Amino acid sequence: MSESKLWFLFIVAALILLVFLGIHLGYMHLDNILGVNDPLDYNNVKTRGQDTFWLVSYLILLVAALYHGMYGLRTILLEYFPQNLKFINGLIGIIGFLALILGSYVVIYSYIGG
Amino acid sequence: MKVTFKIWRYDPAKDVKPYFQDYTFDVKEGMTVLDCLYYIKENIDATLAFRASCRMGICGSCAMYINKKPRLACETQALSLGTDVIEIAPLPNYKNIKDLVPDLTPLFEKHKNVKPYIIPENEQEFINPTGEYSQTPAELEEYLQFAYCIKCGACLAACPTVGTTPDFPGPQALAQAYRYNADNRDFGEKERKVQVDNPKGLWRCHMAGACAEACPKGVDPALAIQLFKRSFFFTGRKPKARLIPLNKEKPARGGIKAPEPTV
Repeated sequence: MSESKLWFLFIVAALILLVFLGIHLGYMHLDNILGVNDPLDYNNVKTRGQDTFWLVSYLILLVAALYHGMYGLRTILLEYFPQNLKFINGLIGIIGFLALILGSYVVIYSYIGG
Repeated sequence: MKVTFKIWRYDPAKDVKPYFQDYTFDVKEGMTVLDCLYYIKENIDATLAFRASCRMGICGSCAMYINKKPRLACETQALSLGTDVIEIAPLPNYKNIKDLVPDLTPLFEKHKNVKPYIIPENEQEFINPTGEYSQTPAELEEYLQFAYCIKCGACLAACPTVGTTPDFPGPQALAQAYRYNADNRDFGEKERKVQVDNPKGLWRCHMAGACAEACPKGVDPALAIQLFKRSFFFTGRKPKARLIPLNKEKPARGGIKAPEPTV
């Protein structure tokens, strides 16, 4: 993929983060204003985990945050080691993929009632 | 006012590493840093090497690191710096040839890579022109600011990305690529985009904005880079420059004459 497309996706991921991180933070920290009853209570966390809206939200948030963060990390590493492009791309790809699998597992396992 | 100039000295033929040498003398009001360097060379130390040409901020030869900022020596009033010790070093991010002389080869190589010239739609028209292109003032405004670049290299010296990634084209080349892309006589946008759309290219700019601050001509390469980035995703239709056919008729007898030479 061309560098311009990678950068474009990085910006798109930032916009997605603004929306979904906003929903997440709003729900968690504005609970008194929104009238949410203790969002950190175990039963509430479990109920939320089994809700399709939250499943989709968390997956989108996970993918966007991972892509945005990994692209940023790649940029920083490239700045320090500009000659190691292939190695850095591979490393970032593997770390990102493993984090995606782990994150998705947690979200999906909660959804199916684990 | 007595001013001490701490000047970077380095002669690769005899010095192992660079050092600063002090020169103190009376600086008169109105003297630029370049005037002071000429004073040192003519009266104190003839071995001092620096580069300068036009003395009026046009050629860009005398860009150097004055009091830790890239500036043109010919445009910098020595007393206006407000310090009685003025430190002068060669531009950073370049190889040092001797004393205050940097090797600007990478600057010109990067500049050349982005094809900084008008690439015509029809090459024949440029070889055998049948007319001349006209531009409206608004079309000229699209690129005029970026056309004021004098290739002094100050922006590359200020750029943190060039410091860490020597292959990064840098603000000068990127601003010039955008300057020609924005010109409605030009059709080389795709060719220039290919040159900079790579992992060490345009996208490595992290908007420090130091280049815009360093530019002595107000070119604002940081703005050009952001506009260039935008042009990858939001491509507005560029109006083509109009070709006005040349008037091949011979001037009528007794028509407009060239002015008479004056004594």
